[in-house]
Amino acid sequence: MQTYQDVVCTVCGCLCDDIEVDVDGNKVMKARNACAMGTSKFLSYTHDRIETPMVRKNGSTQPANLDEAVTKVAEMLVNAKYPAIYGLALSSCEAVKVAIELTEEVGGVMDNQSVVCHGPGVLGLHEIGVSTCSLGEIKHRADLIICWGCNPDEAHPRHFERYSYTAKGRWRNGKADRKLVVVDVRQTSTARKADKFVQIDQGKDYELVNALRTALRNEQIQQEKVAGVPVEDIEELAELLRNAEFGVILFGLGVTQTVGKGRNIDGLFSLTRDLNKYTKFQIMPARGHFNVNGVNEVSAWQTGFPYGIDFSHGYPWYNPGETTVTDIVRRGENDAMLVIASDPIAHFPKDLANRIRKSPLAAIDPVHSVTTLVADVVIPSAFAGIECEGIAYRMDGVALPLKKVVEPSQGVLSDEDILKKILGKVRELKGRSG
Amino acid sequence: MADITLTAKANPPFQPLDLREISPDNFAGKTPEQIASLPIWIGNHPSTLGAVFDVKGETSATPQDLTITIEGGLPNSRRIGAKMTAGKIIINGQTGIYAGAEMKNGQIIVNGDAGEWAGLAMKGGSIEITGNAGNFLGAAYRGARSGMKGGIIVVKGNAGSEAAAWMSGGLIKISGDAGLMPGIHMTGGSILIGGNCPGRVGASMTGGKIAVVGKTDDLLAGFQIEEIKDKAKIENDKIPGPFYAFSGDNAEAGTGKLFIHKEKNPHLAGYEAFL
Repeated sequence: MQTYQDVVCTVCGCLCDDIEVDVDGNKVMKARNACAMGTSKFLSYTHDRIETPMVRKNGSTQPANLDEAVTKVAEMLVNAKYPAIYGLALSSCEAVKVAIELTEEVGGVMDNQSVVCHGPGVLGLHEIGVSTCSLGEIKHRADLIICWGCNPDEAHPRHFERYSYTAKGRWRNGKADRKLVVVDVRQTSTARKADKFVQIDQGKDYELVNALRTALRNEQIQQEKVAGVPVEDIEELAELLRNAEFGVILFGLGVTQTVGKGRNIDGLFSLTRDLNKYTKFQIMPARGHFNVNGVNEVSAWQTGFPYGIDFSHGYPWYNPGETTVTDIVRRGENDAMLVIASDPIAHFPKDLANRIRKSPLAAIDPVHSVTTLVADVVIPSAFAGIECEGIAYRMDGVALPLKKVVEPSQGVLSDEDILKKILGKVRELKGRSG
Repeated sequence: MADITLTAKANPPFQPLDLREISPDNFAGKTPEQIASLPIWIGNHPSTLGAVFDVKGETSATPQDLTITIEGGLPNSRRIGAKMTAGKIIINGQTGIYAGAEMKNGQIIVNGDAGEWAGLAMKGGSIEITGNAGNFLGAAYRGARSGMKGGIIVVKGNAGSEAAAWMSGGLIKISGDAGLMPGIHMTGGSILIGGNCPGRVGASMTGGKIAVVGKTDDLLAGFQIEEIKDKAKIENDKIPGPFYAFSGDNAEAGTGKLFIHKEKNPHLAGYEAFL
């Protein structure tokens, strides 16, 4: 039996790096310190695995060898005039780097799960800018934590204990020294723990942000209620924000994916900016998939853009709404799709899922998913952070090394190595060398 | 006057068609053969206009005298008439994204629907869309903080969300309904919405004017009532009211003006107590 210390958990954007994993004979026996989601991943990563590469022949997928599958994917991408490469939020930054190179080589579009997740927040960031910090700063300094449209108690179970509300920091001794405010449309389990719960009408986040900003400027609000919240309560909340010593807003898909999308975050970033006239205030997205931030970061430093990057003209171009995979598929403009570590057929709206199936589809994934069920080519891969190493970015932009604690099955490669093989084959088909 | 007609061939490609070369500036002084050999992109493949269109007619020496007519809808097209400075483009059919983006002068008439970002950051000239316009009509590019600066856009049908984002000048007239957040972050210019709007009119606006003749949802808290006016003046038009006149958005310390039709919006009667 061997015990690995300080293993990074690869479930959510918290990337808890204090997990102790016991391994006996290439099998994970125990994962200490992890939450229920983390424990489940470490103990059941062997379930539902794809055993072998698959290639569709005469209408049904048949087992194939890796070279054959890689060649099929490479041909599919080279023959396409507008291929899309999508996913990677559950993979390593090294794989993202190769995927960008591959997208550039085939003149395609590269997009990641941000498009149906925190991508709209990026749109707010472009126009307003963002005042943000590390999780460590929240732990040691924050006296006011606002969870807006997010439910860390269930989605990021160790967030409070490690980084925020109940964490014992240098200048804040747990929840005795902090206040938790939750803004949500329903009483989530996070809301039940809050010192103040502001229940708002569905899809009215922007209205409340606008009212808070108006109240902060001491302007009169000529309405009785905004977003279902009485104006006196809004003014009281504005006062609470203004009087914090170090406030932080954590936001989730409850604001990024409701009515107004990126403009809701535009409003929240503006609110944070306004609050910095009075006190120290920060804002941070509560990222879901463990390395969705890494895909954004690597894409941004390699191409200048965080998601929805179009290489069709040979240089990176970006405009969510035009170059994002959801919109491309909606307009029916792509003619091939490679999915890596994602399940768009299950997660996208039904009509988009149907359209994806109309053009050649390949999937690289460790486990069976709806996408791998309908894909024309399937290549099994190793789990980053369990069966192979890599780098991932925590939700606050801190890069952490993922550990390999067990060997993958014979012949199963990491996403990075599979993508390198595809890239090599693409270059061979195009008569180019790397 | 000279006319050149581009007729879309049967079974056009479904991948994005980058047609930024279609503008009187690029066509002037060229023969139809030369025009047919102008470069376009079909997805990631470089191609020529002649691969997608039959080109017929005559061109003039200068773009001012040239009218380009496009027959056939190409919803996957990009950038028709982008950056044009003179002349006229008539599109008989649906057009895609960025029609008339950054145009400086001249005229575009779309007899059909237009996609997103029609008139993106346009500086002058006119765009008329007889059908519906997509989202981000006359808006800014992502993060640019400068949308439409001048010129006029007329939409006979409906427009999508975030029309005129970061607009600083010019006029947008929408006869039908507008989507969410028309005039977000606008600093100048005017918008007239003939139909209804689901809400957030003038969000974060710091200047300019918006009139809504139809119904809208509750206003944002950053707007305060100033008066009730019989008419709303949008550029040279006087729109019969009465209108509630608001100023805001106070969340941005703005001085923009909103005119919301009184009779169509009885749910806003509570504001009268603040007059």
